[in-house]
Amino acid sequence: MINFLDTDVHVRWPSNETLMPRLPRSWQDRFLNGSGHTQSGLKLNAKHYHPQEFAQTDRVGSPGAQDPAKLRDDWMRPHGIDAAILSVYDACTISTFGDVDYPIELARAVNDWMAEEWLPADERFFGTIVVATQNPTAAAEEIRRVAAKNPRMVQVMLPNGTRQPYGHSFYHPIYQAVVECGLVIAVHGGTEGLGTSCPPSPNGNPGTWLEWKAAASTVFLAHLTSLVTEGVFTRFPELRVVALETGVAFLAPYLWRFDKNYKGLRSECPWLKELPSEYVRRYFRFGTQGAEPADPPSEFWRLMHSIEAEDLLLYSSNYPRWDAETPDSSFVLKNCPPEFLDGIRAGNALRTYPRLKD
Amino acid sequence: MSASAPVKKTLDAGLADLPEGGRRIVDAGTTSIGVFHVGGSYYALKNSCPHELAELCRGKLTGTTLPVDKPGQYEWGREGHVLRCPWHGWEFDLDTGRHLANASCRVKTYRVEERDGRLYVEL
Repeated sequence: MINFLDTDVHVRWPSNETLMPRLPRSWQDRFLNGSGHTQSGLKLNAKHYHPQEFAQTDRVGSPGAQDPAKLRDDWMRPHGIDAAILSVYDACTISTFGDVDYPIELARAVNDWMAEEWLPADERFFGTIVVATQNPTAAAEEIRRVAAKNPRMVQVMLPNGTRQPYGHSFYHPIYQAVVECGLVIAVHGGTEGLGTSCPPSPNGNPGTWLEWKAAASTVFLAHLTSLVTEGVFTRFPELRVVALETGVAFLAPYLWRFDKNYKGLRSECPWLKELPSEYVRRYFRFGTQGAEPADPPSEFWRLMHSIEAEDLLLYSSNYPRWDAETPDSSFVLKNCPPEFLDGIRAGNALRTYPRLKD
Repeated sequence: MSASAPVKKTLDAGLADLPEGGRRIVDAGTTSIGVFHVGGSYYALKNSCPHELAELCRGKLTGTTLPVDKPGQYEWGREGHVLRCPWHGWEFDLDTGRHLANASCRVKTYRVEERDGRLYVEL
């Protein structure tokens, strides 16, 4: 019985040598040392001022938990968390590599590592499939391969920073595989402006980390808008999209705007039969970590209530990164009206991820 | 009209000489009404968009991309039966007055009678 689920926990291999044997020999040097202008491992430099890594060196936390027993003892047990969805925080950056073949191999290695090292360790661990979106056909194959072998893989994680919005038909093979396998798409913030992805603002690159962080929500909003208008949910009505670390408080006023414009421009998207806000309510969910603290907190709930979005929230911690939110420090959980608490702790997620079984 | 029929309040909308696809805006006191001649029939709508009260009946009379089930499919239809507001492009069905993006929103429609070479709008 899952009463409390953490939908965003990050895990990591202790050293690159751990992952390396899972890669074909031809790619091992690329992984360990980089090559020419490219970096090693999952490391990827932003094209703009991006002091995140430097800032992190003197912060608490780490890129990911490295030991199943420690994850249980240090995080889950003390906070009463029954189950966790695990992912490798920066694995989805591989979709922003300029390489074509390397990220496909790297995705296989990371998925096999997750399936072999973490899922067997505890039945309360659920896994994440990573893919290289550069080749959607290969990505779809990889999703089917990993999902067929591992019933506790529950989602495919894609980066928020991309070359084109997620509604584009380029991505349809991925969505087809996702719905066939009973998975969901999770879009995780943090990659905006990295590698080959577009600048994190349509106006260009930010000058500070503050600018980058604050504007990241607008990047996800572009995906949300594209997924609705391009008819992805008309084509794949079983698809669900979970937004992690991209914020949520902006949703109400943005949907007012989206609905308003739809009323004049419906004829461009004749496959939409309802207001955009109806699609968003049905198909999107939002992690609580990084939600915007309103003052007073009741204003946050007033906005959520205005679009009946309380049941779109899923508890997510982002553990063990420096900005992880414990249940006690989570703005959403600590200010949550009691009637929505059970849903945010587990119920909403159990109704969202088809493979998430008690 | 037979003598026993209830007396209806009507508005004289002028000679029944509108060309096919033509229209006439008729003053109706505090508001105005647009009368359209499409496919041999006459239609009348209140000349006011429920959105922001623009003069709806001065908008383009056109067709539209019909609701479809498949993304990427564009099926043109209702030619001459879709009235688009000249301000924000809201589409209204000429026959029912319904807003195509939101059926709960509609503009008032009126029955038009052609009698003795003139048009009468039933208010």
